[in-house]
Amino acid sequence: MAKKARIAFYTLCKAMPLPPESAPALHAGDLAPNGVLPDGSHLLELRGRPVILAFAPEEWNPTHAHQSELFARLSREFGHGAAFVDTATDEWHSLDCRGELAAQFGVTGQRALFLLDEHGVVRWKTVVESGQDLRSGQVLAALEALQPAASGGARAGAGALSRRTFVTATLAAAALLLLPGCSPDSSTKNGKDAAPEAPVGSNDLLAVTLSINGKPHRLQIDARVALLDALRENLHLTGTKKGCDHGQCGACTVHLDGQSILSCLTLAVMVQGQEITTIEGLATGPALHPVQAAFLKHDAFQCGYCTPGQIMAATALLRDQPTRLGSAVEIREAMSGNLCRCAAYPNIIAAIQEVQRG
Amino acid sequence: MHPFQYQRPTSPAPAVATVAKNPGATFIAGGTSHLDLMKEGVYRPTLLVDVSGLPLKQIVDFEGGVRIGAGVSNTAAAYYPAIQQRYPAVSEALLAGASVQIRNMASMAGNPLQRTRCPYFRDLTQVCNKRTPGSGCAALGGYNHVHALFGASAACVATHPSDLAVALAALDARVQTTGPRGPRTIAFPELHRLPGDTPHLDTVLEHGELITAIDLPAFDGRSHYLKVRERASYAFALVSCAVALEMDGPRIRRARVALGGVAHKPWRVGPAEALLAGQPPSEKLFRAAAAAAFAAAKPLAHNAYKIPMGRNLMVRALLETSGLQPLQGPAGTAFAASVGGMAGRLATPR
Amino acid sequence: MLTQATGKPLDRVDGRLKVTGAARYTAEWDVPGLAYGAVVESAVAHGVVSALDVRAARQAPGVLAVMTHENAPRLQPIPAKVGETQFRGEGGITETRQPLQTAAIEYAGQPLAVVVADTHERARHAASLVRVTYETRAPQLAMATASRQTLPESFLGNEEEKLQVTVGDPAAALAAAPVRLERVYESAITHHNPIEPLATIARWEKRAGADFLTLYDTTRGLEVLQQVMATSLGLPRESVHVICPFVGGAFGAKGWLYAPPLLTAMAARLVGKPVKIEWRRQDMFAVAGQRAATRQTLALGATRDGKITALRHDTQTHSSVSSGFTEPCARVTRMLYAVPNIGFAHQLAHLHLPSPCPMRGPGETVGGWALECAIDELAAELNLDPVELRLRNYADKNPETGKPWSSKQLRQCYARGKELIGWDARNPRPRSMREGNTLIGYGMATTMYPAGRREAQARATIFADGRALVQNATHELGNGAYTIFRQISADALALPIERVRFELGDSALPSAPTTGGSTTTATVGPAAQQAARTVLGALKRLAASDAQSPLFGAAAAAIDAREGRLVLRANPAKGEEYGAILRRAKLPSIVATDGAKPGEERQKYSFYSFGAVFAQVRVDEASGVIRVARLCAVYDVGRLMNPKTAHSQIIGGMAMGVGATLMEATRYDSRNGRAVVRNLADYHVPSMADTPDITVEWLNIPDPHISELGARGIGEIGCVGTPAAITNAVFHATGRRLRSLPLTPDKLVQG
Repeated sequence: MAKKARIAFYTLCKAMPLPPESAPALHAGDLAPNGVLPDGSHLLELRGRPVILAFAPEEWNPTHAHQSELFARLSREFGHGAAFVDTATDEWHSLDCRGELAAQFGVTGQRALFLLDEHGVVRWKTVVESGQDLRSGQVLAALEALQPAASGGARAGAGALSRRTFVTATLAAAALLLLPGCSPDSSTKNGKDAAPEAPVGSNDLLAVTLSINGKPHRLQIDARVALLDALRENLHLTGTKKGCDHGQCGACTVHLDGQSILSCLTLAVMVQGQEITTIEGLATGPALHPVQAAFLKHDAFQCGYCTPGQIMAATALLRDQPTRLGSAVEIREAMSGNLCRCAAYPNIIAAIQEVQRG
Repeated sequence: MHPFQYQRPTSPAPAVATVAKNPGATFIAGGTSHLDLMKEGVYRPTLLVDVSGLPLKQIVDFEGGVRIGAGVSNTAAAYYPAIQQRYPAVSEALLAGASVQIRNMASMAGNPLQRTRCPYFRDLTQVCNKRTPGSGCAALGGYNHVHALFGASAACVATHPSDLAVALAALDARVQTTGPRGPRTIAFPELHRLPGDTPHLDTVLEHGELITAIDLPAFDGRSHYLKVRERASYAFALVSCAVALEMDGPRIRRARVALGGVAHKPWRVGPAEALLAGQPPSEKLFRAAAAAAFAAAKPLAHNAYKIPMGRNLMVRALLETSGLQPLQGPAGTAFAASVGGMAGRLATPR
Repeated sequence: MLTQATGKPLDRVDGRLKVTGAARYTAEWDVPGLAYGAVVESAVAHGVVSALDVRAARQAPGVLAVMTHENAPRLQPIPAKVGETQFRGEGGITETRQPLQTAAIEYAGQPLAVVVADTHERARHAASLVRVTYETRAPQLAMATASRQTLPESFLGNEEEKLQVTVGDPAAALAAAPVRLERVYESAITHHNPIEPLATIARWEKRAGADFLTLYDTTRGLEVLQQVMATSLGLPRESVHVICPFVGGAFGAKGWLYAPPLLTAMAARLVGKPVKIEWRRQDMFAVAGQRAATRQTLALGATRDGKITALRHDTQTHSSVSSGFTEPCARVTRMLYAVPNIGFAHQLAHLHLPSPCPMRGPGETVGGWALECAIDELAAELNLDPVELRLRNYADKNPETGKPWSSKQLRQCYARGKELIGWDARNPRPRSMREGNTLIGYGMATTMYPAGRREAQARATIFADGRALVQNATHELGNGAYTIFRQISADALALPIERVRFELGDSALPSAPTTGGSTTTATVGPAAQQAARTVLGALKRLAASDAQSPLFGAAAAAIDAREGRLVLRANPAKGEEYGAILRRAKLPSIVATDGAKPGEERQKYSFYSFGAVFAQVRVDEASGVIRVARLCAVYDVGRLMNPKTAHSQIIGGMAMGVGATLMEATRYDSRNGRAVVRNLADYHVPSMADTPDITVEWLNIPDPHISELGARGIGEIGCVGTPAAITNAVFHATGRRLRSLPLTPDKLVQG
């Protein structure tokens, strides 16, 4: 159903012989150019209502359209009539259109989010780090930027925006802006008896700074948050996987100061000041890390779920190569902390050996 | 996980003082055992005192032996040349345990303090005297495949899971601690205790007592660790055996043998050690020693297999340590420690 | 045209996403306003919840709601049947109990409450504060003594899969046989344990004034799940949208048990927010399904020269209280050898344990193990080479139905497998090969798997820029679906693979069955081809009716599709690109939906894949440790769609067979039914160090009858056969028969 609609959206775009030259990046206060949208209409036609414009690079990802649809719903529910335009929604069928529009906005090849007001002026903009997806927190932040008073409470005329769903929205925004811990509105709770007796430390959120893939991330978190959950839930770096949550499978392997460790058995608060590398930070540019490339070539995975952990374990081991890792038997032993239920093991060994040979 | 507060002192004294005065407090270092049990709800500390930042991460030569800081990682200790060469049993035990990632995280003090793998200890819906004193022992009449042959009580039949602890027991390592009553030295075989009717106490450490170092005393003999497990790697021992053998010409001057997976603590086999002392090594002697070691074993419903397995393993460990049989892989590596045809074949020089 | 992409060892098209961590699995969707659910499980296996104290949980920080059987939304009964699959009753596939509808407890680990809070940590903590009081009853936990025993008629209601069968007169033939052998084989409960745990995110909204549920779920059965959710929740089927573009492994799980997604949807409805429930690994041992334990009695009668005259295979297995799922152990026995008298029965004990479900090679893996071990025992009894005994009983047609095989080249598999392992160079005498402390042994077994095919639909779209999209609601769970269906589609559309995409994992796409039973290639491949053919037909008609086209006036039958162009067959130089036809017609795209289903060939032939597995083991008898040193196997599975992904799937199946043989077992406390093995430290799945060198070869002979693609499925056959080959090798190494899986060291060690 949804897919059909997407196909119907398609409007013929002339093939572009050359990749478009990117204009200088637009900033808040700039007037947006009048580009062609994926459905063939023009941006100008949306004047009179706010527009959230999301750009994604030209990588095939079958999950993109679904996620985008969720953001569009978010805009419809909370966006005061804002239009959500995802220039990659029709990723496969509108590359030409998107290339042009992204160039006009100065974000060729980037993931970026723009909020245009009803006059077509850029009100807010964010560029998403490479290797990461656009997050609902960023869409919500755009919606907040649209109505700075939004957090002040329910507004008249908000239409479908009920008190409850409004709380939902602000909570989500808070959570994803890394400020969790604000109590939900009491009306959403069933028990209204005595004020809950707070267990020791329950409301103590800690200010934690994590250095992940070379960038600092400030979080306000519960001391209980494991590094794995901080990555997946708070930062939405979901490449690091939860397989057992108890140090028994290796799917959550990341590097801590260059050594492989299990993020499920690491409290986020305990690794401040140390450098954390995740699968998202392994390759420094668009090219794959040699271990990633070798895994792809040797089909060293099937379902792919344990794969980031395998690759993080393998890259750390290869760094120790002269002393710790030589023959296939040593690879077998050293990689045994990463379980692969698809059992791509022989291919993983082949991939590691290829990188070893250089 | 229950809520807790978190502190990260930078020197041992305040760490000890903080834990000592707070009954709900506990030290955390590598976290590999703690966090696992906190997520299961078995541990419910109200205050975590993070000792991973303490300056306890040095390995130094000490009185002819080696002093290993409590915060040294299992990986760093396992590959430390003096340990790998002079105390291969320690490296073998470390490298035969857990996985690379866990060894990178786990501290040398934390490893011997890990808790039992008795499944009932970890399941809050079952009774367990070790977890909840006085509640009963579900393992005694339950599924006791991995449980104790020696030193168990009606209150607890759990075994200690650490590989490292078995090697340290055989080598008579010494544990340096600092506690509310000041520093002290504990002989490693005395660190862990038998369950008796207080199985919730694994060790003789007091609340707030912090291990600062583990000393390997001077030793000029051979040592070796062997482990049987159901999976070729990344599995706890069913039975394991550490041997420290000192020779006097063709005769054994002193043999120390510790068994793992058979008791609430690393199980030193005194009568067998006495049998070995002064004798020339032979398979027959080793069989007699192993028979003596297991003479007092008291099997439960599902763990009698550990008796022949343990006897055979002890004989093998003695044969390999004494040089009557070759090691299955290079000394000081996981391959030397892992019993099994495959590990042996694959560990042959390439 | 199937020569460009199909059959080539292409890299996975989703490989880049998987190696960069960008492939998104269920728990990873960024759903705004998400709340987290944590589940409270039953401590007891049988009884009633007499009281639930949820006050502390409700008052804990961040808690939005506590859902119990007292306030949970009411559900409709689970359907009796979905599609052709029997759901309820003896032999049915799923449990009929709907979650949180009553206070009754039927297994330990059963969900009793869901706590929803604003963070994962707070939900999990609050769940630990729920206090349950039980009225406990004695659980039934032993197959032998269970009071409720049934004899299910058929497997999943399939008329061709009767579970109680007699062909000829096995009793009389056994009595008359010069050589008789009767053995009992036992196998333990095992769990799939995919590394991705079960997870669901449920989001309710109003669409056109009506309730609409979006469900992100770890499922390999989008459509069945959509149907079950709709029926249970009282919604029209169109009001449930299920999305799952990547499954992190399934192996039989994630398809047929519905409490996890139902609980999530119920919790989301109760709190009025999207809710995510990620099941803990511990929970997976209770709610994710399992392979039941079996006790199988094999009786063989044979002549002195090795002709098997009678074969009985009687299975005692178990299910839960509310499921009739039966591990169909005789699936191999019924068809593998040319035996005139075959009988088998399946008796099902209903226990207070979690429900079983299919697990890789349901019936074949453990049933085939028992049969192939018994055959090996007979060979030893007759002093015959195990391969020779199998050749003397080679079935040239299906012995149960009498139908000819669609294609069977098993003799070649045996011959080549012997060469690969060095069979004839071994000393055939048991316990004769040794290296130091290690005993060495060789063993072999036949493997097979039914080659099913089902009906499916696909949609093919050609765009005006000359690219194309093919869509079908199948699943990517490591099977390579994105890759091989892109290959097949590209060839069917006569386009280079770079210009074609294949989309799946969405219940809104054209129909596909649950991914299971090794049927996906044979089912979805032909549907993709048919849709491609239909859309090309429409494009041909468009061109032929366009006066400006060089193909104007040509009959569709006279037009070929070649390399992205429609051309005249008689004169291939005359033609034009797909895009040109559409652009001139001012059409952005052209779309066709079409399907394919098996035909009467299914009545004419018996469809199976075959293979021969050879193992070399090393046994350290003193410790009881068995390691598999080598596995060599040769398969007759029809034509391969992608040898690279196929090789991975097969070696993965064989490694899972190693696990099933040597280490995998879930134990329950025999007093109270609590799982005492319930994590990945105690439940051993093979690690890299356990995985031997594996050599796999294929005959790659297309099956002329299964479909135009000639491809039979390969998802499960690797797991089948491997356990018996290893067990028989242990006999050759040690001279001892171990008849109880898994072959853990405790079973072999001797004083």
